Parts: sequence; C-alpha cells; structure tokens
Amino acid sequence: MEEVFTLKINQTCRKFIKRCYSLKAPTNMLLVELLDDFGITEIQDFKKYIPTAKNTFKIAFDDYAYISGAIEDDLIYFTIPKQNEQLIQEFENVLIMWFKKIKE
Amino acid sequence: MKPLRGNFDTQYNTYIAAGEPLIFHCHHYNTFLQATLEDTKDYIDIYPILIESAQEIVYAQMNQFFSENQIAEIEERKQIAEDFFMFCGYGKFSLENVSVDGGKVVSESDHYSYGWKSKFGLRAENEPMVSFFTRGFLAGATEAIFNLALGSMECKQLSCYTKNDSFVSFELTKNINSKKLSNSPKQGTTQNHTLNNPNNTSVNYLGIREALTNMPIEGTPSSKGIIDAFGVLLTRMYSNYYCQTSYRMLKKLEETMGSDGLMLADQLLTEAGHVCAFNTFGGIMQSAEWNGLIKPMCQTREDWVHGIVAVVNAFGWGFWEILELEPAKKLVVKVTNGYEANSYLQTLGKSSIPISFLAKGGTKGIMNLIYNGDITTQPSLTDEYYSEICNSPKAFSVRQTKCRAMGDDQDIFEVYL
Repeated sequence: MEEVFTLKINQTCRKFIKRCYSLKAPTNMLLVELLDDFGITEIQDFKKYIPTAKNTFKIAFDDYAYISGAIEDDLIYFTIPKQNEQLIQEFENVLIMWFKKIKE
Repeated sequence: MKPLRGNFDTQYNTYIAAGEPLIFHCHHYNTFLQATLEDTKDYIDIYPILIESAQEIVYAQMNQFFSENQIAEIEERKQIAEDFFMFCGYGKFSLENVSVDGGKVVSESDHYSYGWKSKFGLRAENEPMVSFFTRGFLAGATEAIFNLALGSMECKQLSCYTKNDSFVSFELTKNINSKKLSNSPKQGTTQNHTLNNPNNTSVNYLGIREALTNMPIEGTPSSKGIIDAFGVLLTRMYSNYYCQTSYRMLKKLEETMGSDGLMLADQLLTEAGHVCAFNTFGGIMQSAEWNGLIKPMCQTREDWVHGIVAVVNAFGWGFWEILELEPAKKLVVKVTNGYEANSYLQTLGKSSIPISFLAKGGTKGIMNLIYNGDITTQPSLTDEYYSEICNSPKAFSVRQTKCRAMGDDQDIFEVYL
C-alpha cells in the first residue's frame, strides 16, 4: 500500500476521523469515476474563476461521511465515522486498483 | 413558493437577505460564543437575550420579505421560513402544526443542538436545553407569518440532543401581554468599499471571492439542513445575532461590574473569535477547496496568510486587507464595513473601548495557525493542539488600534509577538 499512498489520521471534533491520504500520483477523473459508487459526486468548477486552480470533488454518503479532494492534487480526504473498517478497506482497494490502472 | 435567499453584495462584501446581513460562521464559534455568554448567567439574565435577539431579527426579516413580495398566504409563509432555516444550515423543522395560537414543532435536526453535542457533549441536568437561537427564530417567524405583534409569541424547547433525546422539539404559545422587544439594526451603519488584488502576493483575492461566493454552500433536505463543509458545520448566520447577544452581554456586565465588566467581556469575546479562527480557518486550510483553489497560488507562507484573508472576504465579514505582514512577527489588518462596528454604531453609538472582538481574535488566530503552529503540516485541530499553540512562547498577542465605534474611520488590528 505504501507504493500507492501514505496516511495521516486526524481527529475531528465530532465522532468522525479525517483520513488524509498522500497519493503517489495526482488524482484524475478516472479515480473520481471509480469512487462514484460510494455516494453522490459533486464537482466544483474552480477553473471557471481562476484558470490555474484545480477543480474539486466531494462524494457524500448518507451519514455526513464524505470523500473529498482536488483533481490533479496528491491529497485526498476520507472523513468517516470512527471504526468503520470495512468501508476504509473498500476505499483503499479502489485507490490501489486506480493506481494499477494508471501505471498500466 | 418564492424562496428567501439574498445576494452577496460586493459593495459591502456581505450577503444581504431581506435586509439582514448574513455571514458564515461554524458550530465551533456558534456554540463557543453561546457557552461564553452563558458563563455570565450568575451576573446577568442571559437566556432572554439569547432568545429575543433572534426573535427580533427574524421577525424583521420575514416581515420585510413577505411585504416586499406580497406573500399573504399562510402556508406559503410557513414554507418560506422552513426553507430559509434549512438553507442557512440551522437545521430542519416543520411548522405544519403551528396555528395563530401556537403549536408543537418537531425538528429533524438542529445546528445548535447537534453542534453543541458534537463539541461539548451532553449538558448537565440543571442546565437548560441549548437551542435558544431556534426558539427565537420560531417565535419571530411565527409572529411574522400570522401578522402578530413582535413579542407576542413564546417558544419553549421540549427535547434536545444535548439531553440525550433522539430528536429536537419545541412548543410555541401566545403571550397574554406582548413582550417589549426592539427593532433589528438591519445593515447598520455601513461603509462602501472596493476589493482589490494586493500587488505583493500571487493570491488572487477577487477570483477567490467570486469562486467561493458562487459555491453552493447551503443546507438541503437530504442534509437535513446541516452544512458540513471544510470539516465544520457551517451556518449563514445573522451578523446581528452575534452583535446583539454579545453587546447586550457587554452592556449588562458594564452595568453590574463597571470597567472590570468591560475588560471581562473583551477577554471572553476575543477568545471566542480566536477559537473560531483556529477551527474554521484551520479547517479551511486543510480542505479540498483550499488545495484546489488557493494552495496552487501559494509560493510562500505569507501567501497562506493572504490566502485565508482572501477567503474571509467571501464570508460576509466586510473587507479584510493586509496593511503589513512581517513574517512570523507582525500582521496589521484593516477591516472596512466590519459587521461588528456596523451593528454597534447603529444600536449603541459611540464606545469607550474597541469592540470588534471577533476580528481581533480572528487575526490573532491566523498568525498562530501559520507561524506559531504549522497548519501547512495538516495537524489535528484538537483541544490539546489549541492549548499547545496558546501556551507556546511563540504565541501571538493582538490589539485593536483603531475602532470605528470609537470615532475612527476604520478598524485596524495589530498582531504581534
């Protein structure tokens, strides 16, 4: 997994944790599409206002959990309720699968 | 239904919705400020202030909106109030069972109740339930919906997450004699200004303001009226609510304790602003939006200071401009059309002390996050980290050197080591 990302876990004030993934490659639309199955995806078009900016995405779940990041950035956040190991595993599997695809 | 929304007015750098300025603040500030105000309960009767300030503002706003748009139908008025409450991130309730005589209101979620429990946990048995703002909102909105006089409705809270209840509910009743309440200061004593891009940074203030003010930061039915953004629970809050509650507390403390009361209020309210900066600014600087919109423009740590000041210019807090920035040593910020001075001047006139407490704590928070702590390394914004920053020998101090409420033509804040 270290070939794909390094992880820092931050607390939030609520019963959530914010998992900050530093990826070994910048995110792209393929990753956003692969993550789309988790919830409802919103893209924020910042390039419309500042051409040098990066657009952002947010994939929201039912219970205030969400995945967010900037496209073409190497950081991605997963904010989830504590102790949801299964969901974390599913998310990291998608990151690994995505990384394999872009390396092919 | 014609929804009540409002617009961002670049002439004032604030959102105006039916005459009421709205500004972004998160649950950390909302609940911490309320906790601060409640801490004075042994000296002053604070709870009516927390409720009635909201009641006055909401009554004025809803009345103006119904009248300007000729909305007379009761059901439509109810929908507008429910929808606006949700849009602003205050939560979600139904007025279905409310008549001219009152009734019960069940809420699917409530910002203050949820936010308080998240930040502080449950309240003690001898403490009241926490949603004073919502109580005032419901009373003021109901009065406007049914064309009743201001002060004619009373609202009690029946259940609350902070009391371990699984839902939040309220009961509205009609007062036999109306309470005497005041009019909202609305926009207050304003200043016009124009935002410009500074020439000593690559940070594009105008572009950031345009991008952020066009972002759909709003509560929706699916989010149950909660805005979860930048790692905090955001609200589009009435700036007059903060000002009326804070300055009424300040005046009561002055009445009971003299100049000691003023000094105490200054310390408490500035600390609330500092807590706000730590959590809200800190959360923003660790968000996807920061990484996408602002970080690509930042070449130096000083650009981070400019970046967060540029963001503040989209929050509705007035115009924030950096006059001087000496890395890791000093920051001087000018605020034009600051909401604190606008409201104070309109309701109370001249002050003997500087009164822009939020901006004072906020500017200090920026320097502490960037040069004392290191927000660029994505730390956990915990109470422990906050204490570490505050107790560090590198901790910054702040003073307001100019204040419109004291007769100056601008508000200026100096943060120093």
